[in-house]
Amino acid sequence: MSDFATVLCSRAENVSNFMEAGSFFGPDTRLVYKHYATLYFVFLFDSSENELAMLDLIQGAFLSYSVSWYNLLMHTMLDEIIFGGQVLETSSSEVMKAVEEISKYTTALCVRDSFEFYIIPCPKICFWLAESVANVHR
Amino acid sequence: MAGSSLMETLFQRTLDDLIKGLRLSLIGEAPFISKAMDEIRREIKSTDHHTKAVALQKLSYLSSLHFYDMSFAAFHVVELLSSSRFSHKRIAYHCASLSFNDTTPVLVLITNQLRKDLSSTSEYEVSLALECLSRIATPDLATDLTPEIFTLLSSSKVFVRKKAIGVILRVFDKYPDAARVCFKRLVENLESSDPQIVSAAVGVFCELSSKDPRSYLPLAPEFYRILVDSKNNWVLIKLLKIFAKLVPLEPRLGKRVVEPICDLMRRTGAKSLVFECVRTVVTSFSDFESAVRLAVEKVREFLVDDDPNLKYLALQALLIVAPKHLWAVLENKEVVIKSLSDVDLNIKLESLRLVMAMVSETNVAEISRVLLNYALKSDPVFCNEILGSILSTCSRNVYEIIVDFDWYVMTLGEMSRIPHCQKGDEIERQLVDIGMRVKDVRPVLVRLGRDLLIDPSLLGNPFLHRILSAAAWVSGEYVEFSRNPLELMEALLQPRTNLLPPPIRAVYLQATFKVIIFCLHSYLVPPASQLVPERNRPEGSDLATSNASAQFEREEGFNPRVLNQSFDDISGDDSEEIGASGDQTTCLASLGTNVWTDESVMNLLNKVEMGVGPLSGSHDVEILERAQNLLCFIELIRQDIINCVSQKEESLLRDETEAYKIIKMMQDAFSNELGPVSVTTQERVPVPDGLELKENLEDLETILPAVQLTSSISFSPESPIQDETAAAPFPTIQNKEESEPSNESTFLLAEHRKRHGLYYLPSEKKDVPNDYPPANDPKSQGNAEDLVKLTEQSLVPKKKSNHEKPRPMVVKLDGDVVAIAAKPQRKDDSLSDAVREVLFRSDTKSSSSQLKPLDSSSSKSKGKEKVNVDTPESKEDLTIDKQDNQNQSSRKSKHQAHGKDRKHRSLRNAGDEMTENGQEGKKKSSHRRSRSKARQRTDAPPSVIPQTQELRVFMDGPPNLLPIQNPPNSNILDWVVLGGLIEFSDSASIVSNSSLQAQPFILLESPSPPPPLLPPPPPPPPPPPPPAELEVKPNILPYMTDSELFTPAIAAQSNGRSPHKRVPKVAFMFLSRGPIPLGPLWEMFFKGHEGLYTIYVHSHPSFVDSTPENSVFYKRRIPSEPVEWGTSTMIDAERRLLANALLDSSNERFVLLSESCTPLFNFTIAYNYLTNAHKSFTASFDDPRKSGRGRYNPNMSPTISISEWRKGSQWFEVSRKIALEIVSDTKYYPIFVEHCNPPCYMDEHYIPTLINIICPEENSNRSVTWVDWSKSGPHPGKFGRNDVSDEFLSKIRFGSNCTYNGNTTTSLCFLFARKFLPNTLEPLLQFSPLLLNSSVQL
Repeated sequence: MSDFATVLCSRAENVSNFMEAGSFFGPDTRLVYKHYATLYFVFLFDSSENELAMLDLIQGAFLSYSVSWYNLLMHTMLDEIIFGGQVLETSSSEVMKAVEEISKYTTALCVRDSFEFYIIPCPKICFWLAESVANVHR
Repeated sequence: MAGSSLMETLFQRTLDDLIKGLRLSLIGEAPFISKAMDEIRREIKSTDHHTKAVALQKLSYLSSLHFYDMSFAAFHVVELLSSSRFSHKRIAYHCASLSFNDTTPVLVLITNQLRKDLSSTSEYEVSLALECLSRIATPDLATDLTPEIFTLLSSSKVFVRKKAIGVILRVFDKYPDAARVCFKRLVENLESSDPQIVSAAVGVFCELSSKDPRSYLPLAPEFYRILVDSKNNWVLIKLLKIFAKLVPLEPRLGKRVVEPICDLMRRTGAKSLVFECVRTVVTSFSDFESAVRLAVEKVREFLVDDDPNLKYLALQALLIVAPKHLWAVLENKEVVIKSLSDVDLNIKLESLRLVMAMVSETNVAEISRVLLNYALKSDPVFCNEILGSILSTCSRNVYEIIVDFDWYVMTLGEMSRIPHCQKGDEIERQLVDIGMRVKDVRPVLVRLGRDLLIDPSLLGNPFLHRILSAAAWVSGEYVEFSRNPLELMEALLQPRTNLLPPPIRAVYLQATFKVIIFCLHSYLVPPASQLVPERNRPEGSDLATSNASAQFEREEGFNPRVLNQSFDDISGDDSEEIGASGDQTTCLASLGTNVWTDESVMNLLNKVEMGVGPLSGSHDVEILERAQNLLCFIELIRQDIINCVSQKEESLLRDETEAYKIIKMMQDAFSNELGPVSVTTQERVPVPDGLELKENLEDLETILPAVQLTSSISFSPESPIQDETAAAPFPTIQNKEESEPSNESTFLLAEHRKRHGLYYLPSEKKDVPNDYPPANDPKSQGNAEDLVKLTEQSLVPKKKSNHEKPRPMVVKLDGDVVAIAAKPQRKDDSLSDAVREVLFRSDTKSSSSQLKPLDSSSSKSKGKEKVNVDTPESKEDLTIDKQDNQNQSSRKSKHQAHGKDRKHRSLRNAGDEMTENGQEGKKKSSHRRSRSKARQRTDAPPSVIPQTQELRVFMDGPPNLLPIQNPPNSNILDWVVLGGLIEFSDSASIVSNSSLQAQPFILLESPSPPPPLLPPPPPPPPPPPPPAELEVKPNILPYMTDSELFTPAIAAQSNGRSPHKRVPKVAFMFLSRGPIPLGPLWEMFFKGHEGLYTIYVHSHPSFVDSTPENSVFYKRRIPSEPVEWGTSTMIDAERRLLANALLDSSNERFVLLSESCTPLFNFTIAYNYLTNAHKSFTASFDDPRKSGRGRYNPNMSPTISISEWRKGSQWFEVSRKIALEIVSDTKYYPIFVEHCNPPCYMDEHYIPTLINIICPEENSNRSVTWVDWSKSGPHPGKFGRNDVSDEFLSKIRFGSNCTYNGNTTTSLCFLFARKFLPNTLEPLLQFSPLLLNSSVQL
């Protein structure tokens, strides 16, 4: 894990967003990441996904919401997008709609989901959001 | 307790607090976390759900981020799951997803909760359960919850439905039998009008088909439809991935799909989609030249793009395309080469791979040089990547591409001097391997070894130690090629060798041993006694002479030409080196001008003793043992040598000394060739007489039958010295060394070998297969020029002369060619079975062979084989047919067994029909029918299996209703079926038939080309048919599904618009229950107008037809399904008729008629009336009453609004365009099926409403079929024999006014009339002169 983080962080800014991840996560693993401020958005996937589409997913689905990250129901959103290891919903409006609906149920309780490091435990697509590399190093 | 609970609630640390505290981390992270964990453990036991929830939430955080085990909380998770509050439930589900796995014991407890939540009215609760299930479903859970998921699959809530679709993947994985239940619905979702649903379903199929694509081939038409229709890039990408999997299995699919994909590639602006298209084309469509070209163009666009991502992917795509279309890489080689110096490691690596893909034997030298230059400049990582790829490429397939081994060996040497080089292991392996395999290169190898060994600086680099080990081994083994063994000895014994790790020092010692033996041998065996051709003596260096002689002596039978050549090489190099290197000169000087002086020999021995002496106390066993060997040996011979020296003059005595014998023996032992050992060597060892290998092991075999007998002892053919060498292709040095633990044993071994030659395989030295084309490979200059640019980039001058050398022989063994791993047999895993079963309704369990023909390609090839072995015997065919008839249920396997009749399949089908009609048509049972369905279904090609909505049998009908094969061009495919006897009247038809066989139910208009996946574009229109060539019967399409009459019909439309004007035909589609009572009248109606009409009859599947051959209705039945009045089955039948009729691209007008319909005018009038009409004739009106708008269901909104709602007679007449719309409609049809149930009668509303929505302007809103609605009631008036009168008929024929083609008012409004009972036939026939009188004008 920390090896991976080292490699990830050693990558320059202006290079491609892919990494050969087979050595870290097994064969037929592809990795797309997006470095955004102090955050690394990392998607791991296999040959059933399109690399550029995954990149779009990061860019489109996450970065375009300039909503404050910590107030956002982060994994609710992810759950809407990725389901059982597949990308289920790609329309951001649909996702936001569902997220808002669900948050209506939960806000009453004031439980905020502020996972800054989130792993979806499923075999097909993994998503990491790592705030600062220090976290990853641990 | 209550108080503490309250306290906990009030003062509980929330997740936020936890995170903040963690960040501040005043007491350090680990203590803080362990404190927090203690809190959590306490809180989690709380009876208060809220406290528990927060505790679990914190726990899940720590588990995710700090990898704390949270399995201890499993039970609490289960508890919280039952909370009624959504937020609690959500946290619980989240925790369950995170921490539960197959072994979680409490998993059994959640089944009911999951079931409850799956049935919840709140879609969000359902969604939570589904999400959880998608991650943790176990076989048990999947089994138990399949019914719920099945229900959800057709949920009206998209939000839930799409997730239900998503969860299917996990469920199928865990419980394959779920496919038997859910697969149908899953397929139905592909047709959903909601894009989200389709997207989810396509995603699931993408995953499913990546595991076992073959099972999903039958869905190809469905995928194709979505591919063509969908606008969603995400969906398209998934579809492309599916097709990339399917196309290799079914070549015909490729032809069909390649165009849409190319279109997409051209059209779309989305880079991701373009890339996916490119990847699909290069992986699965590499045979489609134009598509590949297009893809390569796109790749080029990507390559020059600034976005490194695109560049990276483009390089990847090129790499995929490279093996088949190298030109694509060559075209882009400049970019590729430039990319080698990109800043991005990914891009560099990809371009490196591409460069290696371009390597061929002509350019390997140049490319390697370029790359080595890059390597010198690169960072360590990339440098080693470069070296690694050069090494692996060059050594591929036993150095296949290497012609000039001298060059390659020197390159290996160069590599080892690149500062970052870490490829010592591989270089070592290759140096040794080349030494053993390529005799001609040994002098160069030895020279390289010497260069490496004498360079003391190399000893300091641990990465190079392995290379040095190889150098030492080579120098020792092939010492006879050495210019200066003494120098070598010095190098091997230099003090800095103590830097080497022990195993490599051991190699050094062994090499020293060999060198010493060689030196002593050449000292004791005077050169004069050796047969060296005088002329080859090099000037000055006697040493070289002795080397050469040694070599000569050693390699008897060796080709003298080669010998001389290497000899020359050595001597030339020698003199060069002597001039160049001072060391050399001194060494030679110490030797004196004569071969070996006595002093030099003593010197040598002393030196060795000195060098090796200290090692005799080494802690390493290997070194210790070898050093001792060496020292003992010297001790052994020293006295003799001294004696020798003292009796210098009596050289004759030399031969008799003990030392001489020993040395001779040792030399013999060492001079045996070491060769590569094939992995298959073992098998070639003959079992000596009297050696019973099996006898004692029989018991073992019974105990361990699975264990294959492998002997650890191998007799290698190439290195007979080393019987301890493992049978590995590349014996390592260690092996070799170990095999000679002492000179004593070596000696004994050699002795033993001599005595028992039998036990060793003869050396293959003489019969090494020369697998390589003889030398003098002409080198194409063109290829070299291709690389000019490449080399320019690196400023390395080209050097072609190397290539002029012939390729030396490379010893190659069977075992070196790595057997291509047998294609893994497709596992018929249970999911595939289930899917197949659903798709094909075949009983997979009863006969696995039934599955085989599902794969149409394999059945096709099978068919071909069978044609090959076939000797057509029609009698046999007949008997088989009979067997088939008698035993329908085992029919499939019979077909397999009696392959001979397969090639006549289409005929046999017809034959079946005949025999069954004639003999046992009435004996059909439903059982038999379903069998037959399954069989036909499986026989059918995937192109025509669009079974989706209702997995009805694709080709249905009991045997007597088999679709009839009616070759359109009877002159080509001319066959006759007579009373079950099938005869070919044209031998060519055998071929035609075999090509038809994969698609037995679709008739091609032109029988010659093999059937494409979908019906081919219609052939050029036939010339206006002369009346004689009447029997141009149209295609009859098998029954497609109700929901989507598939693309063939549509394709016939889109492709069929050929520029040629064809004679339009009218399709008369009879929807009947059984016979057509007024048939004789219709016979008269059609008579003489052949070529201008086509007839299609949809009757009840169980109806036994007895239409005589001369009837116009003969063989005009299409595959059918039962029709129930007032249900959607009626529409299905109509669409089926239309789809079949659309297949004949000549059909321009489509009339639906019932069995009770009678013509009112003759054919010519009807034909002209219809073909000249500008609009269709379908009643479609807005009826505000209860029987009209009253039947509208508000649920149809918004797809269908009430203002669009229409009613009208079922008996339509439509143009081709509208017919196509009806067949291809997937939007409105499902709505009708769902919401239009009695008293809403679909047949009265569907087509009128559809036409009204889609193209109202194309319809004249009236029917041409007269019907009497004057009597009230659900059914119109019927007419019996007494009703038929002149007056009555005239009233119908001319009694109304209407407009025709816009402005012409005419009384000729109806061409047909309904509800004439069978008994009207007689009077109608009487009036036929009137009815069919041609005098009436339009």
